[in-house]
Amino acid sequence: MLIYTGKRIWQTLIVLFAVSIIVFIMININGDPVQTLLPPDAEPWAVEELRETLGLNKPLYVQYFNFIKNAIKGDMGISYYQQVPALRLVLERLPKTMELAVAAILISIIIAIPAGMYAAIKPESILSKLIMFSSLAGISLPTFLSGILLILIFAVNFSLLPSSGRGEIAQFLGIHSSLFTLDGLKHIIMPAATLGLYMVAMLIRLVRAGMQEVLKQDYILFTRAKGMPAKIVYIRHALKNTMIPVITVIGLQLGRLIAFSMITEKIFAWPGMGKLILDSINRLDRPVIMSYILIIAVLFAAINLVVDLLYYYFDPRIELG
Amino acid sequence: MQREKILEVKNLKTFFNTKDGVIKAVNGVNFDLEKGEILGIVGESGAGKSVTGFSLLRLIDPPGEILEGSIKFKGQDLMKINKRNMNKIRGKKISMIFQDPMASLNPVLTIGQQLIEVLQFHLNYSRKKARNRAVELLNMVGISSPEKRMKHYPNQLSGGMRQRVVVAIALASDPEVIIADEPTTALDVTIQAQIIGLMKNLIKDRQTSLIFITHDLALVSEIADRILVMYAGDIIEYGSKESIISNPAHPYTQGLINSIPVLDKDQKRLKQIKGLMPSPLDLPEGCKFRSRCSKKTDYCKNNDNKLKKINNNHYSTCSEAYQLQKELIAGVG
Ligand SMILES: Nc1ncnc2c1ncn2[C@@H]1O[C@H](COP(=O)(O)OP(=O)(O)O)[C@@H](O)[C@H]1O
Ligand SMILES: [Mg+2]
Repeated sequence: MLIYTGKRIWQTLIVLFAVSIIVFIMININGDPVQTLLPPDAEPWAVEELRETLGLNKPLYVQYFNFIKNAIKGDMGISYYQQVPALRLVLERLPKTMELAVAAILISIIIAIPAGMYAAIKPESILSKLIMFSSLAGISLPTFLSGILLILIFAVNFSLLPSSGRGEIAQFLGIHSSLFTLDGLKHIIMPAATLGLYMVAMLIRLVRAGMQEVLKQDYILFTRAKGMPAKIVYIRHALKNTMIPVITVIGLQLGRLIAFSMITEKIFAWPGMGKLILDSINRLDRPVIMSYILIIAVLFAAINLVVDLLYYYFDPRIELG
Repeated sequence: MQREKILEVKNLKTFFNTKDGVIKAVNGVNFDLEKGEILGIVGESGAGKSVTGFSLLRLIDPPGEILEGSIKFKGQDLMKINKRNMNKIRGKKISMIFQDPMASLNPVLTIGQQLIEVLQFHLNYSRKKARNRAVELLNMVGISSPEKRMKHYPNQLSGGMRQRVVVAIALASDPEVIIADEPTTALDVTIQAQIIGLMKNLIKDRQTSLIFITHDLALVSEIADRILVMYAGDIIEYGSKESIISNPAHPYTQGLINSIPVLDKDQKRLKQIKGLMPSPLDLPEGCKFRSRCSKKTDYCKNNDNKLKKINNNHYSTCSEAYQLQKELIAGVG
């Protein structure tokens, strides 16, 4: 187990190295930050000077080498725009995006697992057909549309929920989050639902398909022949077998939700990483963009590791190696 | 000596409504099972043996349906009781063993968990008591170091071991009837003999009745007291083992017996029954075996497929048998 984890961390480092090169190259193709930092009519010497302070006058490989050297020390450079360490800037926003993503996942799990199970167990019922139709709609609806629809319905028409910001924050177990206050919950529910909508829809389909497959297996029939009641058959025997693909998808989606929360954060003015990265891309604020991508890459790797370990919990047949 | 009847099955019909048509998998069968007896059900693949077994526990899912019939268990009609009470029969009074031990245990639960849940649910044992009993049961079916095995997952056990676990589960709540559907077909020959020996011993002590389903007439003639031969959803012959093996009345049963390899005879070739069972979607009128039968007569297409008495221990649907009987009676008279 320890060896396995160590191996995975080593693999992760290789991936991060590859990511850093790709990102570095892409960013350099993508315009000159000096142009956006200085007024268009700046003197040539001012441009030169700024290039020198930012280290942009050196050859590319030297720039990359310096970047890596600093990155290992946890120094991703100073934000060109805000003049504070870029990594810190991103890390400050990370919990807010995480909180949104976690809320989105919780909502999707709570809705999708029972709904998917029901649709698998009673495929002919009207409710099942409704569930499957809604999930199809949920998959097809783009985020900006569902977000705006929610705002229209719950904020504008019924004035039930606030449409922007994070609301009141409380601390619990050392974590600051709006999940711990009523006002905070009211603020988070719409953005979380928007962010999680696709995932609810997809999970429903996944749980249903997985469950249908599992229900055909001999061991389910055998459990029924043992006289076990529905609760034991479906939850204890069937659900645990269905969870393996579901866990993978939840894991991968958590990464996606964090990485692609920009649109939702923009719509609901949620002060997370997504909003920061949108602004930074507009300003070509390279250290911030690099820090963001680094964090996302690390997160993806960490999530993958956790998913693999969870597999092992759910399926003892899997050998870690 | 007339023994107590544990199961009485009357006119059981189980059909499957598929998009290609109605499959008459079990087409009105009648039989009974006595206390402590071993009843063998034989027939080739697709004859309706498994569907008969599942029907007895009402484990038929759509598109299948038990259309008619009664299944009396100690006088109580299982077709008439509700779901909850049915769950108290399944696995408690009547348990089932499946063909493939690799597939009948849940891969993500331990042996112990799968055994203990039966004891807790059917006998209301406490966790501790159920655990102890589970270890005893594993020991009883010949699993070494049962304490350790309790924590193992099915994939850590061989096929033979798994089938022993399945037998332990089937016996856990001391049922009155066990339905074993090809319990040894997936195992190799030595293990097969072990499992059969084990089952025979365990049920003898407890006077448990066993329905032993197999396609292998040789195997069933080793274990069963009575034999029931199925063909295309019907019981075509039914009687004591001795009578059926030494005096098969139905040409199909005769064919099955001729296709058993005999060691001390120098057989160049086994006589397999020619042809195939008719498609279950399109069963002919009259005797369903007649297209493959070498003894068919004009009477066969009007055969009502009812079992005709040959003697007190032997019934068959074949008109040949019917004719034979009439001639005998005529001869006597
Ligand atoms: N779930 C099902 N759906 C459709 N047809 C089925 C189903 N189960 C069994 N049958 C059909 O019922 C007939 C009897 O099957 P079965 O009882 O499994 O035969 P066997 O004697 O080999 O055990 C076969 O024709 C089979 O195709
Ligand atoms: Mg079968």
